[in-house]
Amino acid sequence: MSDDILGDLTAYIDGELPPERAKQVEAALAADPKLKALEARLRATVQAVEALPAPQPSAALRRAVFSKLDEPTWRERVLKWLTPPRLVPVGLAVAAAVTAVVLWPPGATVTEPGFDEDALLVAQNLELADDLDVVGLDSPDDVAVVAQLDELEVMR
Amino acid sequence: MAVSGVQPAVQAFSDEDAREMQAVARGDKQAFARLFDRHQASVVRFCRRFVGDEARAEELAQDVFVKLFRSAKSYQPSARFKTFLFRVATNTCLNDLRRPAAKAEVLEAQVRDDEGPSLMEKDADVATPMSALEAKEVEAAVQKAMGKMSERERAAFAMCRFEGLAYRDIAEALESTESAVKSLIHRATVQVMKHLAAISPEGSAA
Repeated sequence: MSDDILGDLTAYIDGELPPERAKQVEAALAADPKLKALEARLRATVQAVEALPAPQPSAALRRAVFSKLDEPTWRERVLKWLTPPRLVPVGLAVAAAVTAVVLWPPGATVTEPGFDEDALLVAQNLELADDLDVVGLDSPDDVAVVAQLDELEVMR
Repeated sequence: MAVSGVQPAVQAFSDEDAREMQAVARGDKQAFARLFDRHQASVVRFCRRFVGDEARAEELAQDVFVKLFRSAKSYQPSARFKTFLFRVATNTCLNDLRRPAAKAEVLEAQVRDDEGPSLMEKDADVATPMSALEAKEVEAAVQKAMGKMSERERAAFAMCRFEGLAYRDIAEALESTESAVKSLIHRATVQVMKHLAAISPEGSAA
């Protein structure tokens, strides 16, 4: 029983083989009782399936289909919604979102402003600096001197 | 192809369908109504066999016809209307089956089919050579076998066995080759034969 013939058995039953090929299958069937038995079972299968009752459409199908014909499609709904008064704000929002993504791509971290420790020290002692009319506070040493002025005066 | 019972429905396809479809493309709803009347039973049958659930099949048939109406402008009269229709139907069913919840629903429907009234019971007045019990068993076995087929096997099998489409038309609907369709239908038929053998162990398929 060749696989070639086996694969063509259903097509033979369905009458879908070219005449030449159908003759070859018939010859094989005549020579091989097992193949003939298989062909009979396949033929009975086809007949049993085709004898099954067919499902019938319900009466509601027609009504349901025709009520849907005039409904706008999803695409039509979107296009209808996109009128200029809506399109401008939506466009601006999209442009803003795109700009934000370009400037701050996902994953980028926002760095907090750093503090200069020297500037912080000066800021903490601003009152002192104003009172003493100090000029040239360029370094922490200057501030330290200002902070210790009282002690320096005592020493004097 | 020897297709008993469903052949007349297939022969109803004609050039008239192509003309109607062109009229539908121009917005003619009367033409669409005529197409709907001619093919609704066929589409419901196909969807019912494909998804295995009656209610879902009706919803899908609705989708098929709405898509058909909306895609009328893309219809090329050079293509057979029936292949165009079944291409839309197949894609609609396939998209539905690819929903995450769909596979579970199909399995549930198959269980319901096993336990609940079969098509044969619902259409008990339909005269067939099979007894009601035998037909119920065949129905359940066929539906179970179809549940185990690949999507393309199921589509090809349903078009061939229940709608009587020729291999050439099925190939066009599935955008495949006749040779591939021949293999799909053979594998599917063997699958059904094995399931029928389980309910008829002596070897007779039905």
